Amino acid sequence: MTGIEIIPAVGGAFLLVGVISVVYQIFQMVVIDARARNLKHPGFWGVFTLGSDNLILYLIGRRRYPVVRMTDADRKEMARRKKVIGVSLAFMAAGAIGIVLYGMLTSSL
Amino acid sequence: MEIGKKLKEARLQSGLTQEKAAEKIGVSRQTISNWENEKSYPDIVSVIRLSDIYSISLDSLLKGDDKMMEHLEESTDIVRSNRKLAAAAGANVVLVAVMVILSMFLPENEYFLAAVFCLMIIAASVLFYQIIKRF
Repeated sequence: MTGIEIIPAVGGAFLLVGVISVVYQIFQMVVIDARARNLKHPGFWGVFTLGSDNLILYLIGRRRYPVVRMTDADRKEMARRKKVIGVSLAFMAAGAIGIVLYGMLTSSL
Repeated sequence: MEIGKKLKEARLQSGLTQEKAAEKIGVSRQTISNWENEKSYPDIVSVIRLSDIYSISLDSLLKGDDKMMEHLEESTDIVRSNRKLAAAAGANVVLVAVMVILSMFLPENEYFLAAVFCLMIIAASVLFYQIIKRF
């Protein structure tokens, strides 16, 4: 692999790791949130929000179900997972930008 | 006096143990302990419940503790949080509009296209993060 060909490989790896991390963190956060609101089958809601616009639908729909019980540990867990999502989004953006720049470099050669 | 000390004094005066107080407001004993040691702060609903069970006014619990007021302000300032989200969404829309208009006037240029894609990736990531922060 030449120097320039490393860019899409690394970019793709960053993108993949970022996507998997974001998806996993959102799943876990939804499960914690659904449990705190006494929604039945929190695991189902976690999987549901993995669909394209379903996270927005969940955030809108959950307003009818106030938080009944969220422990301090749950709150800290949510805050930690939000930070991990922030880092994962940075990975995704870096990976995507790397792939775009590779595309630009190779098309101009 | 800080809220932690006030909560502990109020609890002791009302003759409740940490377990009993935790049970009455639906949190764990550890949470009551964390509040009294100021390792964390209660949310506004818990503060109201505590004022009920300890028979102490909200005034005496909240006033005078700047850190507690700051915590409540941050956690309940929905207007400011909505503004940030609206700003991120608006910036995305404006960016897309500007790029579409510019692309009509500028000649086809890979560098320009690449810059557009990079900016849109960053803008979309920022918007998504703002949505996640409000979770």
